[in-house]
Amino acid sequence: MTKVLKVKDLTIHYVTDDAGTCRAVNKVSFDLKRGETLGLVGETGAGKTTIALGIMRLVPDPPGRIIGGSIDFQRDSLLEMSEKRMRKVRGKQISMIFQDPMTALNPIDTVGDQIAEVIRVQENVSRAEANRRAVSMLEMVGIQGTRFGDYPHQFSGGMKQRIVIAIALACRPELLIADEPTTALDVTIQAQVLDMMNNLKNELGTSMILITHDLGVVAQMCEKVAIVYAGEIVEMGTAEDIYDSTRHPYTVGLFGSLPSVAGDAKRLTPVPGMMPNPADLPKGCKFSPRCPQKVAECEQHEFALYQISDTHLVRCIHCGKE
Amino acid sequence: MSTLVEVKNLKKYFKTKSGMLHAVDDVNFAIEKGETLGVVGESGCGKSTLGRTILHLLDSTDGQIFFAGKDITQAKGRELKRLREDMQIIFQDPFSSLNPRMTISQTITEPLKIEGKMRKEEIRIKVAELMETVGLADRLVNTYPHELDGGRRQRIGIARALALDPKFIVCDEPVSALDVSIQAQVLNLLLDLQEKRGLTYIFITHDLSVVKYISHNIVVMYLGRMVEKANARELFEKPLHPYTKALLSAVPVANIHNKQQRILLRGELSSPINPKPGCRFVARCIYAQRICHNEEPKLVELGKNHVAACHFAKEINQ
Amino acid sequence: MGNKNSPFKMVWRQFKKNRLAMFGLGLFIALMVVALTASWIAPYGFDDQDVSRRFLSPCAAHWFGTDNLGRDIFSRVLHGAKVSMSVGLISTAVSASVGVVLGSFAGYFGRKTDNIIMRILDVFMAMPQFLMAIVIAAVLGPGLINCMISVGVSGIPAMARVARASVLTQSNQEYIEAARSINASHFRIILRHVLLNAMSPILVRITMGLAGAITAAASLSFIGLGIQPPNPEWGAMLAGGREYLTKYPWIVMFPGIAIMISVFAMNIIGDGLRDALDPRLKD
Repeated sequence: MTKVLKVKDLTIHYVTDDAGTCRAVNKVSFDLKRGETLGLVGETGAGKTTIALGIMRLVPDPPGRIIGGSIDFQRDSLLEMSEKRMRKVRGKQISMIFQDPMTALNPIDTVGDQIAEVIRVQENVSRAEANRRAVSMLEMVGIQGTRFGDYPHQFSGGMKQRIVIAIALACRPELLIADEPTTALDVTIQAQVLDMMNNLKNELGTSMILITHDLGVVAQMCEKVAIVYAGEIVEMGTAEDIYDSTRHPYTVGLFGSLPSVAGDAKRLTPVPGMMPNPADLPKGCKFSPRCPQKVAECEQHEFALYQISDTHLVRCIHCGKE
Repeated sequence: MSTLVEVKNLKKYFKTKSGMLHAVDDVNFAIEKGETLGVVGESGCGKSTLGRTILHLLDSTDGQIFFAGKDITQAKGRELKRLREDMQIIFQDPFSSLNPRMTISQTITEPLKIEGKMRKEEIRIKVAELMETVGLADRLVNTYPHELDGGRRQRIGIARALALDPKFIVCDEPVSALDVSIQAQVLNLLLDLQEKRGLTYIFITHDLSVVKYISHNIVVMYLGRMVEKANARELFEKPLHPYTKALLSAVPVANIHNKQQRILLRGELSSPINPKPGCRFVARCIYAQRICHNEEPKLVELGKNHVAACHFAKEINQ
Repeated sequence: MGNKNSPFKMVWRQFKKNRLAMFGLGLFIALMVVALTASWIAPYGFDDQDVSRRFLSPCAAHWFGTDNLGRDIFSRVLHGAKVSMSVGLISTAVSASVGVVLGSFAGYFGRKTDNIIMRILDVFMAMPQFLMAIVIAAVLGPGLINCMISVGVSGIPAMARVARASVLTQSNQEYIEAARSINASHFRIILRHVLLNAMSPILVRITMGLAGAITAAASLSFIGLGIQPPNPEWGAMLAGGREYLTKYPWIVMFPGIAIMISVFAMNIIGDGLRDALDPRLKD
């Protein structure tokens, strides 16, 4: 099965005068197959959005800079491409939905025009053809095609998000990066939108990177999961690996922080403390200051990801010993 | 068991250019001392307005509010001042709820200064105690909100709410803006405080898993109306109202083997301005019948302390 | 309370980085020093006339030359600093204090209070500020105090408007609600919470207003409605030297440059303040 995306040792730093060097992303590696959905899970400041920006080559430079690593998309290296070529890739082959859908739409353009514009820019088609495809995209995301001429303010939050998704998928990209696409939506609307995304994804064969902090959403949408902490992937595997055979202490702590809807209310067992400041990362394992299973070595060495099964990787000294 | 807070037929309407906004419409409940009432619902359901109205940060339009048996609906002036020492609030946004130009200690000191019953030195000691209670290191005493993360800022808000030793706290989405692990820490803190100090809470949230964890009883709101109320466990095991069922089924569960059938609601929220007669949920309800368009369903007791407002509650739950 | 990260210190740090703004600040301080020490450092009195030494071009004895009455222009400019600075500062203080009070009441209490205050101010704002200053001065008559009053009062509406807008943005913040929930009085909330945080645009407006006040005072004096001779107000000096512009330009040049420098300094400080205040506190 061909790999749509191959990220290897991606490292991104932000260099500022007053805050020092912020090591936002450190040697992150993962692959994505065609039609697969990868969940990038982590809390605020973990670096997940920066990873996505890195793939899109949208890291603000200055102060950000991609220091090292490689990103291979299909057969091309994204980091070595010229900006001109990258522009052809963005929006057409790789699309991104950013964090705040409410402000992603231009308030003075009709929604139909916004979808059609993307099609016209990326593909050489007539205006009429672009409009026709825009209407069909609207229908595909569950909005009546007759609303082509309506403006964003005439839609509710959930519908705006659908329109944003329609724009992102208008050119049938191979890869969709969705950064917290449903965080701002009500639960019942979120369910509708996620359901729609799943159907669309299956219909169009799009691969997806879903960035979120919500393990419930990940369970519903992702085959593959990577847990990000302080700019590194600390655990990665299939959904089964992560949910049924959780290994990394941080991941265990994440699950322990979730009050469950089903079952009895056991006391929550979150990990104490907070994620370190990326400008001031601790020596050795980044999680060691908070880790309940810390041993002396943890503070001295950094560890690579150990492969504990065909699909499951964990960055922890306790797994390396197996 | 004594009832600390009671609300009867509480209404809060706002006048807008397009008409009367029914933010809170005829809400009834009673909370026992030391318990938590969860108020859950999605945007526009009126839960935040409800909390603020009980605290007199907004004036109620109609209905009654009781605190420790006394009718406080029209409380003003000195009576309100005294009341506020017993009823406090924790806000959702850990940034905008703190004055950016006041240090932590100034923020926590202020309510005590205004109360005017303690000397400077006593206040300083109390502030230090409060900071320790909520888990803020005392070296942070002179820091400003912008220097701290959301979790710590929220703890400041909690310390401020505790300063006057209240009996009752309205928690308005206190953990919604926090990361999952910080959320859990703060929830545990709130539970510990409740146990140690016998606090009574109203816990407002849109997050169903959180509300289950922290509440004894839960009220579900939709467009200003109460649609269901029950003991927390029972609400999740036997939801009666169609909206509650849909809400529960929509929550993404962190379990890959949970292939439950999702009840997907049709359509969108109707407007709370000049609502039509009949059930507010009618536009999205799969069970809607003629009567639902014409007659507002009343809250009917369908189980022990379990009420729901639906014309067909019995039939749906056969 | 020595937190080096207090919002005030952060603004100062940011301000310091702006070389131009610091230069402006230096100029302002220099002007203040001159204004305060004019009586001591000026080589001559501001009204020492010597008809035998009229129209002298700049030379060793008279750095800025002499005017039509033989007075040393350098000394007059230095003394003029005292007049201009005091008029500028006092009239700005007047417009700021009244304007901020009116504006914050309008912004905080809203509804009727807002309507009444703003409608009254609207009437005044229909007149250009300088025109209003002229009208007031015409009514009160010329003179130093009246000049301060006219310039000060004419600056009230603009200040009130800025204060109101700024207070409005803060009034919706949750920490205001939080203050009410802990029984803070309106007075306390306005002073301690709202104004302290709404100060940024107001401060910028004040520095800009200072520049405007100096200009307005100079303009009033220029047309004879402000400070009267022999008081060495820069604008009055411009008026006095007008007829000699072609033959003895230095009589007009130096007071003119003095006005320019003062206004420039205020504006630069105002710009620097605005830049320093903006990004930092929008965390």
